[in-house]
Amino acid sequence: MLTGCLRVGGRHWPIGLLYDFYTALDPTKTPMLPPTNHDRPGSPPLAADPEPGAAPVPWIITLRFASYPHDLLTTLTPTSTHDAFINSIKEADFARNGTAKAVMSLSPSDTRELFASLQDHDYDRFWGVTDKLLNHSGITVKNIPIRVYNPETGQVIQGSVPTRQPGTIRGDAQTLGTALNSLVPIIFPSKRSVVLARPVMHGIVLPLSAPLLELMKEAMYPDGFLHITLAMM
Amino acid sequence: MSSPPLFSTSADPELEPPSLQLPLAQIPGAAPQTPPPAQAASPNEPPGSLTPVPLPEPDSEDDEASAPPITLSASVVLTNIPRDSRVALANAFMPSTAKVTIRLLSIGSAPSLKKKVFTLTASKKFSVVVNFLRKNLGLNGAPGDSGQSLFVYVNSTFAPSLDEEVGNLYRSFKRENELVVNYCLTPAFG
Repeated sequence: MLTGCLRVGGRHWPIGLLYDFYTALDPTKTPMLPPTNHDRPGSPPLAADPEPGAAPVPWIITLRFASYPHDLLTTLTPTSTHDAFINSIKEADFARNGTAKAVMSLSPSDTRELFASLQDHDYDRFWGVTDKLLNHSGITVKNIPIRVYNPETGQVIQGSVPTRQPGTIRGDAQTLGTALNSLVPIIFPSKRSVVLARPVMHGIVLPLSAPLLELMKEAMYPDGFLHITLAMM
Repeated sequence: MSSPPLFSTSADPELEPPSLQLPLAQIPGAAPQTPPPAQAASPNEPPGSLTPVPLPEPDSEDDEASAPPITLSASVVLTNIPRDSRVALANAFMPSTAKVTIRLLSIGSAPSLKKKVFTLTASKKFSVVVNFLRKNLGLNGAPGDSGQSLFVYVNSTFAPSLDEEVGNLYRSFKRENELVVNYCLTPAFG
């Protein structure tokens, strides 16, 4: 889980999402080019012959300490970053449960702990608090917040998908395939097999058969969303 | 002056489309700059009408400015996307021209709007709603001044990011087919 965040034009995008989005790589294929446009002397040498399917990591990021692009990125302050993060988890909580009660009932020390765990990249402390959000007493998760990204245009489709498929007699559990089929049916005409694009998250291709609730509990981003990028086939 | 021919025999391709596209009745003497008929624009609702009125929508340049700065079309990695998939991607994410209904409710000491229900194109950013509120509540300061603070929430719960499309918010958080937006002059919800 990558917990760093960068703010692109308003919303904080997790680093892992930025990687999936800006490389738009299909992890099942050997990358044709390293995902960097910083070809300059002094760059670390790249792996000579990457294994087929191996993700081209580390992702080389050039960090500059001057000429901050104020017209493209919102100026970051500790307060604004904290507030944006808290609003993101409240948005996700509201999408999951129809109320942000779970976030609002976190103690101030839990809230501080949650943000500190994000800053410190501390997986265990993060899940210590987030477990309370996902398993809040008296609340059953009803929906899964998902955002699907089109790397070609930068457009985003956001939705709250019910954990159980609507219209099924037994209330079948929602899979990633049924969720994507309901959100972007043109790209996912089939609920079982990929036709035009593979869903990518955290640099790996997700199986359409993955149960959505399990996927959220295991692989959601720190803001509570499943951020899924499309890799065209 | 002779009226332009219905079908140009000229080989110049630039001359053909205009004569083919003009309705017959407009051809003689019709200037190309003729404005479209008045009914093409959405009718202006009288104040106090029960029908939601459209929010004023700025030009799309505002949207472009807030889009992520680099799209994949600028990347060499992307050149191997097949054409069919490209078309499918473009269609599936076509900016929605549908309108969503937004209800603007004040909290605390924030003044209420006379008219609270509006419609807005789904692909517009949430910043359009915020800017509309700032303008109508008179919160914009003098040029160079950022003006008074305004806090805007969805469903009295969370503050969405300004670059979020209202269609996405509507799809996820609508209540009785309205996106409920609350605003106040001081922070209201944690």
